[in-house]
Amino acid sequence: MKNLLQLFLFSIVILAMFSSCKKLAEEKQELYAYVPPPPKPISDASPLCGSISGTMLAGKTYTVSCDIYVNKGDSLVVEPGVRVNFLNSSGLIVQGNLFCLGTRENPIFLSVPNQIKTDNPQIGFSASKDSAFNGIWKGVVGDTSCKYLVFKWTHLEYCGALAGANGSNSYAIAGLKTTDNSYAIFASNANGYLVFEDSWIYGSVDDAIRVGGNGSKFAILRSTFEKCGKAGGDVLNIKAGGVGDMAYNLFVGNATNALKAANSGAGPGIENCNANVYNNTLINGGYRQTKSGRGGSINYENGARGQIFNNLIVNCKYGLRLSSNVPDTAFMYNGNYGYNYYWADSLSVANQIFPFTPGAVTKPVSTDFPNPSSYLPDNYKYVPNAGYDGTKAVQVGNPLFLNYNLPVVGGYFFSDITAVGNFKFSLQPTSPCIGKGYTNFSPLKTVPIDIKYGVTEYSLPGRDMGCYQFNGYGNQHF
Amino acid sequence: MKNIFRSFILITLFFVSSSIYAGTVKGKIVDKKTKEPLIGATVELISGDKKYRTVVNLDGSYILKNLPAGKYQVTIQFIGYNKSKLESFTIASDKDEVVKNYELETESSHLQEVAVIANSKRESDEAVRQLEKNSENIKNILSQRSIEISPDVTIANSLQRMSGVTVQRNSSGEGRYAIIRGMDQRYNNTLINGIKIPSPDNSQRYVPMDIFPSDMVERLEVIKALTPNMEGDAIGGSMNLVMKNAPNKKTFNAFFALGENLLFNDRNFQVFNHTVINKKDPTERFGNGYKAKDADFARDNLFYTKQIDPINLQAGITYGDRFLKKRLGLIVGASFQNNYRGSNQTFVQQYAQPTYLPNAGGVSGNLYNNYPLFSDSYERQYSNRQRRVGINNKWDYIVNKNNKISLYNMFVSMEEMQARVMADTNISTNPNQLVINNRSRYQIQTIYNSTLQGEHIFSNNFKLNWSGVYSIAKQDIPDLASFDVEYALRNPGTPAQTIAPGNVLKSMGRIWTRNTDKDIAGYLNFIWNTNLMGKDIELSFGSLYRHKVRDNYYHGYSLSPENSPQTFSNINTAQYAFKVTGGDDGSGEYGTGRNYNIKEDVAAGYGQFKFKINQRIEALGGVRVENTVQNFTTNLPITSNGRYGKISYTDVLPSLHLKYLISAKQNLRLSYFNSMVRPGYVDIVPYLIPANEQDFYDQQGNPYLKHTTAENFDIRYELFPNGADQILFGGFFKNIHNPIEIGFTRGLKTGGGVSPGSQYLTPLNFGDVVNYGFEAVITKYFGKFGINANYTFTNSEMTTQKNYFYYDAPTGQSKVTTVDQKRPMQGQSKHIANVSLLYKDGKHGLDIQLAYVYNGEKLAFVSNYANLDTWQSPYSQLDFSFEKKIVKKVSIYGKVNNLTNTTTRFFIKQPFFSNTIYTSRIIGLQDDPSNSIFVQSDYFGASYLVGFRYKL
Repeated sequence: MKNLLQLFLFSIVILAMFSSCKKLAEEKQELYAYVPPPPKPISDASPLCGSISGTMLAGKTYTVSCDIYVNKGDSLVVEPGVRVNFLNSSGLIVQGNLFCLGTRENPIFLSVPNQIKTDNPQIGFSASKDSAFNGIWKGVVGDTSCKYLVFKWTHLEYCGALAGANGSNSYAIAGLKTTDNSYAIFASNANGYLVFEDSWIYGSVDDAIRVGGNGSKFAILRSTFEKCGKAGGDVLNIKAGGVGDMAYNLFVGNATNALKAANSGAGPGIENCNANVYNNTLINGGYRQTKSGRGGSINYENGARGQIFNNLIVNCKYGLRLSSNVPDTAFMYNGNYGYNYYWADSLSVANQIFPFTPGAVTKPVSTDFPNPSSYLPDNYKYVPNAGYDGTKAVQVGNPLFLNYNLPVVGGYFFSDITAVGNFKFSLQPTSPCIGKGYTNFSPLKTVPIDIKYGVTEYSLPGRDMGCYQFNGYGNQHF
Repeated sequence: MKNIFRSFILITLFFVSSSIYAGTVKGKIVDKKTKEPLIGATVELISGDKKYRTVVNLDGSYILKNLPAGKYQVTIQFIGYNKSKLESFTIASDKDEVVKNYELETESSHLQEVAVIANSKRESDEAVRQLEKNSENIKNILSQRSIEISPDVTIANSLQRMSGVTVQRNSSGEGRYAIIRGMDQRYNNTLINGIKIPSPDNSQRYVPMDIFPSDMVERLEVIKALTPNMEGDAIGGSMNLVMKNAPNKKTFNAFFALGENLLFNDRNFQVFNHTVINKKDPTERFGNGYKAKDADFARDNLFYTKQIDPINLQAGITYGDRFLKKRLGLIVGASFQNNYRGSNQTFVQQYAQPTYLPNAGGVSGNLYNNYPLFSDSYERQYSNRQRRVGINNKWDYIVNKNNKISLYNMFVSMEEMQARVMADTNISTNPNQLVINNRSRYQIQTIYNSTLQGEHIFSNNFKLNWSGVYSIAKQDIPDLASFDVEYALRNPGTPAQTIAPGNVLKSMGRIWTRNTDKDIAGYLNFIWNTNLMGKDIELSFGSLYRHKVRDNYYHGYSLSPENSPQTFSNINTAQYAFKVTGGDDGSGEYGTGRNYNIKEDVAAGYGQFKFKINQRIEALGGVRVENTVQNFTTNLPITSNGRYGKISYTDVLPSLHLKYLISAKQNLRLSYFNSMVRPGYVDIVPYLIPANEQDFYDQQGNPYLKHTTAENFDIRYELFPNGADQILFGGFFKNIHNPIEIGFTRGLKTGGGVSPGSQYLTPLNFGDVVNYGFEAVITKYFGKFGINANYTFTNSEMTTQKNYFYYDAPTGQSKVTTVDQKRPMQGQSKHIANVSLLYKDGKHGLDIQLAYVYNGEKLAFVSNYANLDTWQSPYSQLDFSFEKKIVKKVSIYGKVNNLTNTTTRFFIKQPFFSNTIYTSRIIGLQDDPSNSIFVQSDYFGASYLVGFRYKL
């Protein structure tokens, strides 16, 4: 018996010597590794395709025939007045940096050729008949290595083509399958900056701007968003790691929310999703979302936080919605929202200023206009929320836009008005919105101020409701 | 249900109770030489014109009661033994008890010219005991007879009766994959007659064991220690299905049985027309670049009706004989099963990330960090119709006494028509919104194997054998179809299982996916008996070469309702189209890496010795070398790393097995062996499964993965008192390097930035893990009664880095940090046990078995966050079976599964705080709120089967 054990142990020692051939057992891996091709010079003489780096020169028109890339470490600078026509459902993938530096006089167009816009209200509007929702090119994807994604005085139009089978991995990082529609802009670098200033997005299939992956610092200021989302999708959709400001923007006819913030995708080193939303004007939002209860103006859920003031919310399907699974309701309830101005043409809109949808727990604050206590019942409960009769909030306090009649005239539904067109959403001198704003808070200012590498100017909280200040401050798209 | 149970008890009692005391003869019948009990031998007493008969029990004893006083002549008959007329004796009175023990001599072998071994009982329990005892290495064996009389109808279910084995269940509650000694299915391989077979699984190597009807095998072996002449890719163990060999006289067996599943007494079995399903997708039908239209997709396969009588049916025949002066042997078996199974499943889906509770349990200021959030509550009803066909045949031809060739062919197929009705209630951001999803899945899995073998004896001390193998395994899931209907709101607490008109139609998906796995292999072994330093030694050496080609095809389409919102009335009138709100334009999508091809070449060689060190110690050992070369290509985009690649490695696998013969009935074994496991196909291919198909996260294969290797130690004490009795005690210790489990990674494995926020599931190596445990097996017969019990203890520990979500008071924000957490390997139960109570009355041809299986708590799903893993509570099941001879050659048998209506229970080890506003049905049913959150249950119902068996 003892001998047996000795023999066994002795043999194991011998066998262990065999196992010392560990080297052999190691994997020899010869795997394909993608090496981005060196960037080609940029020319307006022939179509662009593949990796590019350098400058698109002022006033020139460039054509893109297949996906173009800005490799890690490289930069693409787009000068004022440039027009880029994206053909063949192509897109722009930014692993390095992108600077679209348009000016008021010479804005940049990232678009497609030969489209006719239908901006006037249309009775019985159908998104399937409007080319704004056709997703003719993909849009701009900022990968996790993209440090600067800067748009100044730039038009993005007709975005949302399919990510496609031969799409870059960057689309996978954006969570897009080959048959998913791209976002007009996607940013995913927690240490990077997304700047969208004085710019426009016209038409998208899904979200217009998504801050996902591991988030980004962002500033979305003084811009105009029309026809965003075909049958769903938010204008600005931010996830965990997204921190920044959204102010002085004009939204017309978005499918769901103008802003949706959710602290989803949290991880070590990722900041809590935090969005300050102030002095925005929201017109007719939420009427193309086919899922019920998804919001139509501003929506915070799943641990997202921020400060929400001075927004002018006109005939949107739902008012501000704070969702029940937010442990951060304590933060939000602590004086971090209010002074938002609602206008409702009809009872159905007034009944949803405090969204009567499951899980909405928006606590009424008396600084809103009209004062919720003027139309909510005395015993109104917001957890869990209850329906109410909003009759007393119907057509109270007409904001008196310069050229946009309220209540809506001409027999149009809210869903029929999806673009700015000839309307003017600045305020008449007698508007009750003037001087009602709250200014005792600050933007988060997560993006530095710089003419190229940051924000040109932070517009501070304004005294007038919405994005157009009577003194000309704020949104500059007149 | 109760009634059925009661009637079975009554039947049992009826069979058992029949003894009035009188004159008695008893004793033992054994082999003269070996003293082995001759179980099943017939003992006949003749007194005048009266005959009294009985059959020898499993412990070798027999007893004849109620004998009137008189003179008796004894005759004993048993196959392979001389029929012996023995002495006469007298019983003096009614009260007399006579003890008569006899020893029988074997027949003088008249078949010695051609080496056919007269062994009619090789599928019996006692025969496999001999195999276990004489085996060179550590294995457990289940005989055909014990499978036949067990409650199990598939091999997977039989496996769970074996020591150290637990099973992973499918959506019908039946076993599918085997976990051996706590090592998940990826660490085990499946052999047919010692030859490895490919798997029809679309992603992995392991073979779904429920594809095999249990009546196909002669015996089932679980080999726990590998010798150099065996394939080295098993760390838990090898499952070897030994198929029937040609008998040496004509045999013909047949059985036929009917039954039902009692689950469908409570609800409908949903059935759809699978014959309308087109095996080819629109692109395959109409050419590349074709943009599919709604009309290209059948609708009838999404239209559910109630199956009127879901009657289960099983039938099989086996025929065998020898021809040409017994030189040519043939056995053919065919088996058919048509089963209606199903389950009702309720579970709540954990949200991808937890939360913190500022006021846990409603107590103000009671901060509780890292608490799970739930997104959806699902109620799923599965209706699975499974059609299994198994056909196998074996030809052997004895050319002369030195040369024998054989050809084995096997074809197994399992078709499954699965209708799944799923109610998905949002319990998160849009609480109580209800979506009902109907999904029809038609799956055909087949395995075909053909093996040509030869055995040649060149001289007294030199032998050679070879095998040529062709195998092909396929899986085809044509047109996996599903669609959603969204309800306004669900009234909490009300069941909502059927899809109802008047609600809003949502998207429809159609996916074609199929894979084939083809092996061509050759085996060559030389065995040389020689004398070295005065000792007889058997030296063997050999080689294996296998070329494997695996292809995977995936093409999915997604359609949207036209004129949204469209009111649903009936799936046949629903209007769908492509590119309604963007999305699929009719081209469909081929996925990321989901169309792939792998070629794998394995070349192996070994040298092995076997000799007796002394009278008591036998040694077997040697070295095996396996070289693996894998080449894969995928449809990944050009910008992805790992789009194609070549991976190669060589493993040197030494082993040593010592067997110490303590006595004729006792062995002590010591084993050491090195072994390895190759990662599954989609483990190394960067195949991307999008998050919406599973669990919130994208999952992608990892071409940088390393294969797993292990050093294994085993010790086992064996006692074979007699007959089918046995006692085994063993311990094992495994040192595992680079075990593979699905874990979380940041950033895509194929490129793209590494970012904390973009988390993916991917197979990863988890360093070094030690897995150890012990096993005990006891089989003991007391006359007609027997008990068969086994118990296995397994323990392992590995460390995973996990996230921890908390409220950071200084900043007033929620943050995530990482912590290391220890856990056992996935799927491992610390305690597993089986107990079977047996009653065998050879005289009345009656077998009764009550089988109990227990699996202790196990880790079911690993979370990305600390303390939020999903565990499965201990699971036990009670099954019953009987067989009774009614006339000569014909018996009636019955099987009842899940007598106690066991349901599974899954939970998270966290207290339950009921401060969520919106509760789901399962969240409401907390049974242990202070310790656990109950998150999932599956209810399968009981099923039974009654049939007839004919044996020539």
